[in-house]
Amino acid sequence: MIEGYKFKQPIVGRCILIEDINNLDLLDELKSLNSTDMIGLNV
Amino acid sequence: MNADVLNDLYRIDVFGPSILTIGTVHKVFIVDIMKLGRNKELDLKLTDIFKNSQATFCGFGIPTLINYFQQFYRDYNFLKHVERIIDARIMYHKVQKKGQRSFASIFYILFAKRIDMTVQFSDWEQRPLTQNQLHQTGIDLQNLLRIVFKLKGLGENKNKINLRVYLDQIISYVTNFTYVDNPAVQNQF
Repeated sequence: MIEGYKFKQPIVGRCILIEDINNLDLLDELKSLNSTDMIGLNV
Repeated sequence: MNADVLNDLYRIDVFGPSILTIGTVHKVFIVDIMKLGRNKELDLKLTDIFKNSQATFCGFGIPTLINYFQQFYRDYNFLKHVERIIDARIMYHKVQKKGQRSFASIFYILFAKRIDMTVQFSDWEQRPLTQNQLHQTGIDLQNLLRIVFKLKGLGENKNKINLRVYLDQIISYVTNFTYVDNPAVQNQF
């Protein structure tokens, strides 16, 4: 179910801050993931 | 910056979460829920993702996270129905059988590296968030995913049947703000 993953590079530069309601559609790509993908959730 | 750490450091129990981080190993979205407030559009978008994504969700201390949203963002419904979610804290317990530990201690045990807490002590209520805070948020989510993948590997190597069932057959879920930790597994073992 969970694909292994080797972290070869920092995630810096891949963070996207959403503070405008007009940018919510950016989240849509999370819907296209398949069952082997993992979505992390944090506060 | 997982829920348990925040509870001690940022008085999150008083003000509630200020950001929601959601993402994969490839991209992390930091949703400023303090700035967006109780926004119906945001809730609908997140609900759509949580209901329709085929991916498995994971977090650390899911019951605590749920409590925060139930207490401070009760109007938000996206966390009420999550069909597939893994709690890395419970996952660690199933693999190592050493009780429940904090995010930082589990990370140290698994990777022999201490998490830098400097940024976590900063003011997360102030806006705009600093580059260091945004950076740390991304690192935190990456570390969460690293823990899940590492535990998955350890579970396979140790042939932990509890974990195998947890991952491959019965995923925990959330219903009406209640975290249900794969009851079939508990009954079976």
